[in-house]
Amino acid sequence: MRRAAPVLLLVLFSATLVAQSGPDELSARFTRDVRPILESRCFKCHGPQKKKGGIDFSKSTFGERRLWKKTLAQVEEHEMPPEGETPLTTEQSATLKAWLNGAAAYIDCSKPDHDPGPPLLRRLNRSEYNATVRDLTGVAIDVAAEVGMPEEATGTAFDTSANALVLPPALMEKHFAAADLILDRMKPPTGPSPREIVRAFARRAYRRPVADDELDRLMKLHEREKSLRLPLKAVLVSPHFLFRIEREQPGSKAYALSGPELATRLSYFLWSTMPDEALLADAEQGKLADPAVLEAQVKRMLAHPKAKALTSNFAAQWLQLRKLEFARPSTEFFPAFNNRLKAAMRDEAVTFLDKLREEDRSVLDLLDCDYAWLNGDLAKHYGIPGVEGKDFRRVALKPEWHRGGLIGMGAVLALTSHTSRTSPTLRGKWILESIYGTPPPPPPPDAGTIKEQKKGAEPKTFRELMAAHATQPACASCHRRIDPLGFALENYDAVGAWRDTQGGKPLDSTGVLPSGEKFDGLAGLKAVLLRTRDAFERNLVEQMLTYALGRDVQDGDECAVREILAASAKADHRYSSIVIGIVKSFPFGHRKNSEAKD
Amino acid sequence: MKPTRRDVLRGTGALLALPFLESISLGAAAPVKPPLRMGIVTVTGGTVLESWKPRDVGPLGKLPSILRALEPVKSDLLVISGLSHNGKTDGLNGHESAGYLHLTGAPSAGKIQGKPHSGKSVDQAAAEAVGQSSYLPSLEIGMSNQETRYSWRSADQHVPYESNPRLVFDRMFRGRKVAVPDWSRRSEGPVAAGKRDSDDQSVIDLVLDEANRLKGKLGNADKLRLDEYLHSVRTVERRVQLVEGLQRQAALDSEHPGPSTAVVPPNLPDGKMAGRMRQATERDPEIHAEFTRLMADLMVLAFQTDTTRVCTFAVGTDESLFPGVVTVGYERHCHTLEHQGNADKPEHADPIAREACRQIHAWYTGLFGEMVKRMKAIDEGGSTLLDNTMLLYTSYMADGGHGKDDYPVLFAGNAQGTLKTGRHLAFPRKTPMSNLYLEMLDRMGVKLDEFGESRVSKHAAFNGRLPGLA
Repeated sequence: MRRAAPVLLLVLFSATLVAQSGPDELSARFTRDVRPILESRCFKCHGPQKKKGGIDFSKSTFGERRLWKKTLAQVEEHEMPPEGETPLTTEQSATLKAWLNGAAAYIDCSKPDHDPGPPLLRRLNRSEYNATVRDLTGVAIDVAAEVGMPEEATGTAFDTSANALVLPPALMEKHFAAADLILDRMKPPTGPSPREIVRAFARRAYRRPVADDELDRLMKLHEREKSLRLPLKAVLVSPHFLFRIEREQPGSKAYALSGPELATRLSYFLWSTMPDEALLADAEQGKLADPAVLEAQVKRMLAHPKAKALTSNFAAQWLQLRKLEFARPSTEFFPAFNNRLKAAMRDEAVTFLDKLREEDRSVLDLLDCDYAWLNGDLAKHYGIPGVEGKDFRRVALKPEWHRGGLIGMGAVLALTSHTSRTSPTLRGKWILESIYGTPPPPPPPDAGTIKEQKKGAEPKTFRELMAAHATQPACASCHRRIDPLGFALENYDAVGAWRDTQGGKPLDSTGVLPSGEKFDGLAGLKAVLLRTRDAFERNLVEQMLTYALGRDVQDGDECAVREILAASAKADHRYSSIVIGIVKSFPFGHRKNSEAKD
Repeated sequence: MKPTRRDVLRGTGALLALPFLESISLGAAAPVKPPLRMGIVTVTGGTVLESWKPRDVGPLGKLPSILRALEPVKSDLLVISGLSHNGKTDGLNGHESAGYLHLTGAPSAGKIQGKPHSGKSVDQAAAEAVGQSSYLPSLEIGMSNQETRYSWRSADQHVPYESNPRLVFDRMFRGRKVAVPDWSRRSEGPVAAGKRDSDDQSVIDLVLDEANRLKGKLGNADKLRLDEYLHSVRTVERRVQLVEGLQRQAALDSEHPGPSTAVVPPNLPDGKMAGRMRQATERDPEIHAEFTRLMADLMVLAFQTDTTRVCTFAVGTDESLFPGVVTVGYERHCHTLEHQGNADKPEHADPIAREACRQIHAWYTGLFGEMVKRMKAIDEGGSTLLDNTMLLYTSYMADGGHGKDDYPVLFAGNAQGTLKTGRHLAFPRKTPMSNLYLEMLDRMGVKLDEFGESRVSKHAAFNGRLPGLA
């Protein structure tokens, strides 16, 4: 889900995003200003002779966006030229960076190459499986947990990530066990004949019409025992059920998905479950090819309660809300932070996101807004008067209450804190990851081992050593970017209550951005967030696209991302405009064949 | 015709009752003496070396404070020091870096496009070789998480750990009696496979056929996924064919049980309770201890009943809180204490946090000691379960600062006389842990030239072996 792109961060906090330069200008500047620098400083290793890392700048042109992005990161991070070589002069560095910024952003979307990305076969993940079983069979228990299916091991990626959705033998075994459990619990399906019962069941399970020969094979199992159990069991462990299968089509070009295939992508994106009859019927009749029908289906589905899956699955992973359950602050230090308050914090975030979708509001409300969804407990915790009871309601906010948007939510503030105190580093990291999609790299493995002191020096206190740790060049380059964002939130304690002082002393909540710009406290941070809202919205689109496609966003998706953002800007950044943009985007509706055939 | 409810429900749920077996071979002659088991108990958080490592090499004197709980079983211990991991890791944080190398000793580990890779781990290498002789090839239990991935079937396939004691028990004994083998009678010859023509087999035949038909219509990338499906279904198929024989063996064992009594833990939580238990362990050391004892009981039971011969148990989490165990300072959060309590050298660390880490590790060792004593009390017919086990006690980090030099390593039990206990054996710092894993595999009958970084490490030593263990 998170693409390591530290370079974006620097771009983000430079005065403004670099405006896209035209091809002619980029080309001219390349020949005139950039190539001579590459020739004198880089060709030695990345030229016609050595080609280190497979890179030969002598053959490069201005249009190689990916290469220039990489080069920019290397120059920004002072990785290149490497240690031992003369560093670039200030002037060389400035010229190079200015041009690289332009080249890294340049893409000609007037002639997009329409690449839907690699074809992917996706297994239903744990929550999709449970929801699909519920809708298919009416068995509404947590089947996966009941039979002990392992949690999806997707790490930091979304649990829709195709590459991580493997099917090892241990999981297949659980699927056989789950099929038995489901058949034991489900109400027997009815129909005019066993054959028609199996046909209807398999059609819904496979999310497409079932061919006669397929059905013949399933019915052989029925003959064996004159029981529906075996054919239904076969359906529940069939690759057609467990995987979302998309067929190859002749030719080498990208092609539009079939109706049922598109319906399946759509349904798992918005609902995390199989298509319902209304969607599947439209799909089988080929109606989804009509953009108006497709859009109407999206709007219908977004308004349906099943679309809560966009909050519980997509947003909860994007914003790391699932970590709240394991938040570290303890009641020993924060007596208010009991399970009830923690649950209220989770519900606040969930309600906010659900209402954002239901009321189709601007996604920029996530950065800042003048309302919150609160219940009595949470309002009291936040110091907001006049809210009573368990139920959540919309509360109009006053500025002196210091809330509004994600940043003021207890959930976000608590899941980024330590047992007994706030962690500006974790809060800053959360902003970089969740708001901007530019996570800092992990600390080097030896980060915990503080470097040995000079001989004869006085032993230092742990606090001094920590300070030293943050000033070591390797550590400081990251902490300088991470910590100031978190310091701006110091007025919130570790469980998100507002405080004006700490231990009787005034709080220092000033920060400095890498660009040198100073800002003060929450108001300053909000101003930065709003100024960089384009970067936030781009991240939201990229995250949602990643979730919807089950793969990382790639270079070939850039034009699609820009189209989605442009459409959203025209529609006041409404939630639905982004979802519709994704559904109508080229990569969502198309696929291509694998490159080589054997 | 309208099918009746009976139509739907008829048929068996036999597969639900089957254990999972990765690879089974029939016809291997059963051993007449108890088999050697390999157990690994690994605690989180590294250790506090000056309170772990005995001051002198040779015969064990008074044990350092972290090991003190093992004083009564001192003669059964072999403490080994100086072993390290030298593998390179890329794109991993400190915990992942140590976790991925922990049982693999891999020369390199990291993430490729977000997907973790390391190398085959020592437990899985052993399971591959001896796993077909028992009900489960191996068992991985406890509190491993996404950072602490210890067990790897191959470089890109890590093995998840089961933290729900109820599910561990079900996996061990669903559809099978809890029975202790009488090893002296275990020369009955191979168990016979089940019938080929069962209901489940017909379902398997059909889906294998569907998958093969489908494969012809897919592109290369998708075919790989289908191959994985085919492999997994075939594995289930092999298990189906064997289950009858395995059940017969268990029935036989229960008719003629061995000398010891198998005790099913009376406090096995069920369903939701079990799921919640894991979470509660991180907050409450009493529950943490209860959970650890329960899982240790299951590990002992698995060995005693020959459910498996290879088991890894990940104890504790870095996120746990230790009120009551830690009695110094104010911090109770293990991870915070690990960081505060470690520095380049002990005297530079916060002494209070370091003492807290020591208290936590002494507490872990106390629980391990209980397990060792229980194994020593189980008679397998002239030898004890501890005698027949190579039980490694260690941690995934050498210290709480993500250190990978000079790991805490000790064996309890003499591994059927192949380890000389009652000693502290010291190797030069940086000697690869991989050498130790090679020695362990050798004792399990896996003859390898190299394991992990044993040959390729820049600190490769002793020809990839560890002299003087026996």
